[in-house]
Amino acid sequence: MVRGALEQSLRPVLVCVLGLLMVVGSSPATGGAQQPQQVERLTIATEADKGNLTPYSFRPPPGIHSELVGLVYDTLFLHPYTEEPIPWLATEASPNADATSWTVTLRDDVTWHDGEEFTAEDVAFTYDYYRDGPPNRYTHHASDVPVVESAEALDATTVEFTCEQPCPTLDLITLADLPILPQHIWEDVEDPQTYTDLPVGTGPYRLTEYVEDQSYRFEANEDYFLGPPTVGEIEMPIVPDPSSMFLALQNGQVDTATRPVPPELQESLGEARDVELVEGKRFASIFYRFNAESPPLDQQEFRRALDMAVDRQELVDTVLLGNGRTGSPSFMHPDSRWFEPQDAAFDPEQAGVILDGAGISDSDGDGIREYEGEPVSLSIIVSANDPLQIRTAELVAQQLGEVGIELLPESLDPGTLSQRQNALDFELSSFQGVPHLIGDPTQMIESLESLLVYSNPEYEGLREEWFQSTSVEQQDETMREIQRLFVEDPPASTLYYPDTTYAYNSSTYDGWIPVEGHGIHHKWSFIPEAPELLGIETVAQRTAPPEEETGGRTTLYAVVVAGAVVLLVLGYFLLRRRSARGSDEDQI
Amino acid sequence: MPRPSGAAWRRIGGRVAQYALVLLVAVSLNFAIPRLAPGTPIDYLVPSEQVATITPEQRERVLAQFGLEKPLLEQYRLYLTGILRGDLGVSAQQGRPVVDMLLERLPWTLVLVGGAITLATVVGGGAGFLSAARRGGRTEAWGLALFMFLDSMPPFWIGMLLLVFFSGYLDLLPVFGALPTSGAAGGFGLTLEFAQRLVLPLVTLTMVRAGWLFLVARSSLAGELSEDYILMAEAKGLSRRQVVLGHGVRNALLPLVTAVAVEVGTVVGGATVVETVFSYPGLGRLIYESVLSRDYLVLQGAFLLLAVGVILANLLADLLYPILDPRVRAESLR
Repeated sequence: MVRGALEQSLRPVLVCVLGLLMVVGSSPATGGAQQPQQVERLTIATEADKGNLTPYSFRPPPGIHSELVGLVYDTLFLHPYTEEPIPWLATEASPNADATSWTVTLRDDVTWHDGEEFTAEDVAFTYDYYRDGPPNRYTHHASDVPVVESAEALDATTVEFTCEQPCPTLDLITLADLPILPQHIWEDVEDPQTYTDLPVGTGPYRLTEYVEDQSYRFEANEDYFLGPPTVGEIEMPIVPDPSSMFLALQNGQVDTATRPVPPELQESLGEARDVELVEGKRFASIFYRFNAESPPLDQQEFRRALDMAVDRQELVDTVLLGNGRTGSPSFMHPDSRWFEPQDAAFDPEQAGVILDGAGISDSDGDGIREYEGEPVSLSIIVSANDPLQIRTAELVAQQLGEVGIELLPESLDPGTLSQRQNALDFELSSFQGVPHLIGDPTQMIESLESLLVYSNPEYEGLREEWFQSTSVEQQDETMREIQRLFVEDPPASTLYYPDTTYAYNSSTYDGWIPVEGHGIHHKWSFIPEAPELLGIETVAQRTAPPEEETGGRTTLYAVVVAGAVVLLVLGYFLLRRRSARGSDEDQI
Repeated sequence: MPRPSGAAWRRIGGRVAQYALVLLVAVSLNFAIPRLAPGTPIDYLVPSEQVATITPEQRERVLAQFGLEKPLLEQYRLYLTGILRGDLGVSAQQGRPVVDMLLERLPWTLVLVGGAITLATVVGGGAGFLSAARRGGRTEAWGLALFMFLDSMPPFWIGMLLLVFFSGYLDLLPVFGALPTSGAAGGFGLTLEFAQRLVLPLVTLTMVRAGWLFLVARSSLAGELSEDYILMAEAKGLSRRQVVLGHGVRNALLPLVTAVAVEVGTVVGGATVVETVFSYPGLGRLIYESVLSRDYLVLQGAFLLLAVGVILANLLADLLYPILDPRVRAESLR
């Protein structure tokens, strides 16, 4: 009898264990490679009108420009922030011994959107046009750093570039940055800024419609040399208001947005149905430009003390809600291959000592230091359109107040701001670091002169050394040495590198790849071969359970199965012993 | 309606001449004001990190594409003669003729601003009259509180609230644009899409502007209703309805008409913010973008269009007065 009761009470346990075994046995535990997703149409909200997307249609931030230009146009190498040059329209490039001359071989299977063949003539024409024509965001890479003296088509697929000075990073940066124009169209364009036709490029997408301030429409270039892109049509409405933009994403009117999600929106947006967030790895920073001609900013010690008195961690915690990294004296972005890792010292006491040593001390006890008899009161100009930068400036003003420097934020409309920045009509100026500015060493050399007006005797020597470097390694080393100068003599004060988190609807497309310096909205997210060429996984590949995790889960299953077997065996023996004892008792 | 007499024609002629003079002043101010603001289009055409490396020749060359390198007086002369020819120059940002850009935006502005002014006049003015007619009652108290509240709210905030509720929470209406980006549907479908996208900006702009018209209509009718002739009309034994509608409202219309005419300019200004929140392709947004980029020629053109609009609205109001009010008619005859 006892045996029967026990058996009955154990039966549900046995059923459960068996059921569990069946479930475990049948559950799929496979990850593996995925086919690129093919999508008919995608809607991407973008924050600003960037003209008709020729290289000449530049507009200042906000908004992405070179990535949009890149949908239509191609470059000879992949993009300027890679570790190693990755051929794109070119197949290879080789320099001469002192890297002043390069022979570049081109693909022979590329056509322009209008069916014309792409040849070396187009490349030679483009570089001449950039060097001698009106300036745009790209031209100084051919006319200044480096000076591409000549680009000559040797035959249909070979171009020879000659630089005025050694140009060891020609393939890595210059050729990777400059979009190639079709000669048969641009040879007739006198005034590129008034060229309003839709652009013709070699890129994976044709711009088929552009309604200013309203929208872009791109159609896939089915004849693209790397095969048809994954998305047939891209609609790109221009939605300037951030709240409207993310609302449209939340209610499914758009599939993704090119504006990084502001820290305060990330939580609520991440909870929306199908909306996923991904760190895009775009290069971004906020830095303060100094007008080194305006006293006391002309004093190196003063600039250094100013830099030391800023608590960058507090800025990241308060303004970015922790979504970012503290600024480095190196100016470059930490994810750039040219970045020299150095930490900014936050030491208000030392800053005070330096200021006292430089004779900038508070002699009248009003809490503000004096320089040559005048209280040190500086103004900082900030864009009135950027609340994040205004908040930052207010906070920095508080921090500098602690060391006896008065900082007065002055917010200006973007037009006035650019004018005053360009005319050096400011003391400090809050500035947004764009990828091109903080990821590209040739731009860095240019910026030190034009943007940062840097004068340091040691730098002069290093600059010359940089120009004479004949190898990438040599240039890299010199660039690092230049960055090391910035600790003692900062040309600018980088406050922080904000994260660039993007939101996308995972149910409509998940082929996005975060590319260093560019974010996720660029042609490589639509080219099936790109993840492999770049060595970057798409967000789909990332979120699919990778091998390792699957392994972890298998272990879990094994433990469960083993546990169940042990339970069964234990149960069996328990039953037997009980029943044996029961029969013994019966005998007595 | 009496036919205008010779005197009336003279009066109209005088008015028109007066407005032409105002227009000339406005046109000159349009030329001067954008250029007085700090900054030039070049600051926007070339990235900051590069502006310092641009040679004076390159600078000249960029500006020459838009005729902005010429001396100011010459630019002014070209601007004036251009207006007469219907040529407002080329936008520095878009590289396109300004006239084309304005004409593209105008219909959207007419729909949005025209619709908002009409609605605001009907709703605000109507409620104002009602409130004055029921002075001292609960209608007046609530109406006054509601419209004062609306009047004091910033347009972008109302817009955002409506968006969050109708597009976000209820998911009823699209968030941005005037037409769907992928315009697959035609005919009725397209009209529906257009209407869906118009609702929120229109309601926002109406809500923002109705408050002021409410106040004007209310105080105007309240003033009229305290006049002796109203007492007289009541003494004659006319019904309340006849007194208010036939006598009070008719006279109270004049200030409302003036207020509506003045509104034209203000509403386009208010529309700037609303058009940005809803990504609506109107003139307001064009002006905003052009101010940012110091696109002088577009600003000149847009302000010219606005000035003409405001002047026309005022001229219309002026011409309406004698029709609405016999006293004005009599005065002009004297």
